[in-house]
Amino acid sequence: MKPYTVFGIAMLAVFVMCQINGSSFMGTLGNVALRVLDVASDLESGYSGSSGGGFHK
Amino acid sequence: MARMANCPSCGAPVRLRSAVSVLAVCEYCRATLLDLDGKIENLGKMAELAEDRSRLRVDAQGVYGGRCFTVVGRIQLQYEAGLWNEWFLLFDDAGAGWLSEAGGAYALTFPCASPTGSPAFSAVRPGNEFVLAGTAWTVSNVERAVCVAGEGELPFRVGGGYPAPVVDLRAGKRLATLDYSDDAANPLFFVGEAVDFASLQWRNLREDIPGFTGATGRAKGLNCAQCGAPLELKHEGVLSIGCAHCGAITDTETEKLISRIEASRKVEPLIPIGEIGMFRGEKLEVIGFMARHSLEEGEREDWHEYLLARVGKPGYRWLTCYNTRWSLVDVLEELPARAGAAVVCRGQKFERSASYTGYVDYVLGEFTWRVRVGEEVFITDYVSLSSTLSAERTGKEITWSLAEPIPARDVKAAFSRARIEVGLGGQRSAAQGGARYRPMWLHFGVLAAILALLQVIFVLSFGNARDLASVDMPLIPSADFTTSLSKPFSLDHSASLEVDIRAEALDDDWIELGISLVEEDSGRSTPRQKVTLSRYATLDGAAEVSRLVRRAVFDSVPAGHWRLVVERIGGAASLKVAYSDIRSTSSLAVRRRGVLWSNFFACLFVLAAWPLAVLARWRVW
Repeated sequence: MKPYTVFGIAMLAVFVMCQINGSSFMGTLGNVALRVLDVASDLESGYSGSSGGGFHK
Repeated sequence: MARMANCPSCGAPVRLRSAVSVLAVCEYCRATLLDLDGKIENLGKMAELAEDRSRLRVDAQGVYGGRCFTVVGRIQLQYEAGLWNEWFLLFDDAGAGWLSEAGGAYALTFPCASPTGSPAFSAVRPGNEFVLAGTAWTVSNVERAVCVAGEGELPFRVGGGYPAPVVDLRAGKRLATLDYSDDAANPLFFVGEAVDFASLQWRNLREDIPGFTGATGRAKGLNCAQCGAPLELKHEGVLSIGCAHCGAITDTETEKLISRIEASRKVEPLIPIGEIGMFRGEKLEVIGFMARHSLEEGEREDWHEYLLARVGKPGYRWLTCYNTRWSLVDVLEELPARAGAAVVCRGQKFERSASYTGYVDYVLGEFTWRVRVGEEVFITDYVSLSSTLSAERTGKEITWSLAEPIPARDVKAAFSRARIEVGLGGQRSAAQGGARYRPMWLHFGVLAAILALLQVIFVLSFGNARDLASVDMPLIPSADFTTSLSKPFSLDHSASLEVDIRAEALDDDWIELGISLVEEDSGRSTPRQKVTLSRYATLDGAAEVSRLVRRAVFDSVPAGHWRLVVERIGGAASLKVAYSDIRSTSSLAVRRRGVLWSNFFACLFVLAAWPLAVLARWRVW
C-alpha cells in the first residue's frame, strides 16, 4: 500500500474517533504529536515514561 | 632538442622529443626505458595496451589554439566502467599538454603548479565544491583508476598496474584534474577544457582500426557470454553489449558476462538497433537501447533511452522516451551554474522539478561503459519552458545532460522503421511533469470522498448540539457559598459538553467561578475551568462593559452519571452584598456538542497537505 494511502486511512480513523468523542481533530493530532515527542525524549533519556491520563482518580 | 638513445634490450633507436620526458617505451620490443640525467635504465617490458579502437596514435598531429602539436606518448587507464586514454602532447613551442579521450569525449589540459589547499583524495566526493588557484571548482568525478600500459614517451615513470587516483573538476566550461598518483599530499594539477575532436585538425591518424568502420564497415564478432549467440561489435569505444536473444550483457574486452536477466523482462525497443536516421542535419545510428525505471513514493515510472552514435565521426547523443514523450539528449561538457535552488545553463534558468533514483532494467546493443542490470543513479531534473536539465549522480561522478523535447513525428521521420504512432494529440513537452503526480491526487480524491461520506453519516446520526441538562442555579450565595452542585444528568457514551453560564443579574460587580464536572459513581472529576463574569458602567455612565455570558467546554467526557460543580473563587470586596442582588435568573446549561464541521475541514486540509507539499516542492502544477 502506498505511503500516502496509509497516511490518509490513519487520518480518517482519527477523524472518526474525534467526531464520536466530540473532540477537536487538530487538538488530537497535536496531543498525539506531543505524546510521541515525550516518548521519544523519554526513550532518549532512558526513562520508560508515565501512563498519563486526564481525569482525577 | 630531441634526445636519442639506443634501446638496451634490442638496440633500436629511441627518441625522446620532449625535454620533460623521462620515460620512453621502445616501439619495437616495448622495453620501458627510464632516462635519468642521460643514463638509460631498462625497467622491463611494458604491458600490452588494450585494443580500444582509438583513432589516435603516437605521431598523430593536430592544432589547438593556433599551436601545432604532436602526440608523443600515451597512458591507458582502466576504471570500473571501462578504459580511457591520456595522450601526451608536445607542442611546437616545446610546451606540453594532455589530451584525454574517454567514451568519445575529448578534453585538452595543461599542467599547472600544484595548488595549495588541495583536498585529500579520500575526502573528496562528487558535488564537493572548493577553491583552487583562485577558481571555484565542483567535483564531477572521483576515480581510482589503474594504469594498464603506456607507449611513446612520458614525463613520469609509469607502468602496468600503477594506481592512478584522480579527481575531475568543473567550473563552467573549464575543467581540471587532480592526479594523486605521484604524491597524495601534493597532487598534480591540470587545467583545460573540453574540445571537439574535429576542431583539432588532425593529420596522421590511425587507419588500421580493427572492427571500427562505422555503420558501413565490417564488425568484430564475439559471442554472448551466456547463450553463445553471435554479437556484432561495430563501434569504437564500446565496452559492453546486450544480447538480443537472452538479454545478458557481455564485456566486449574480456568477453565475460557482466549481468544477466530473466527472459520475461526483455523489452522491445520502438526503434530497432542499427537504424540510421538523419536528425537535425546529422546522421545518427541507434547502437544501444536501455530500459530504466524509477520508484518514488510507491509510484513506478518507466522510460527508455536510445544511444545514438554519430556516423563517420566520434561522439554520441541520446534519445529518450517517457510516456510517449521524446527528447533528444546531449551530455554537457560545461557545468551549469547554481542560482539558489535553480541552475543556469547556456543563458537559461532551470527550476528544480524532481529527484529520483533510476535503475537499469534491460540493455540491448552497444554501450560505451560496462553497464549492468540494476545499475542505479540518482537523478535530479531541472526544467525550463523549453527543455530539461538532468544531473545524474553516482558514488563517483556527476554527469549533466540537456534534453530538448522533440515531436514524435520528427523521430518517426528520422527513423523510418521506428514503431511510433503519431496521433492527433501530438505530444507534450518533456519539460511538463504533471503526469508523475496525478496518482497522488486520485488517492486524495478517494480519501476526500470517504471523508465526506463519513461526515454525512455523522450528521445524520448525531445531528446538531443537544441539550442534556438546563440547570437554573441561583448564584445567590449565602455567606457560606463556596460550592454548588447541579442535579445529575447521564451520558450514554463519551461526548463533548458545553456549559453556558449566564449572569445577567450582575450589576457593577464581578464574580469568578470555577466550573467542573464530577462523576457520581467513581468520583472522577474534570479539570476545573475558571470563568469570570462582570458588568460595569463607564465612568461617565454613558456605556456599559459587561461579560455576562460565558462558556466552558469539556472535551471527551466519558459515559456516566455526572453533576455540574460550581465553585466561587472570587469576586468584589463586597461580595456578600453583591450576591444578595443576584437573582435566580442566572443559569447554567449543560449541552452536548453536535457534529463538528471544523473537524471535517481540518481533516480535509491535512489530507491535502501532503500532495500540496509535493507539488510546491517540485513546482509541478
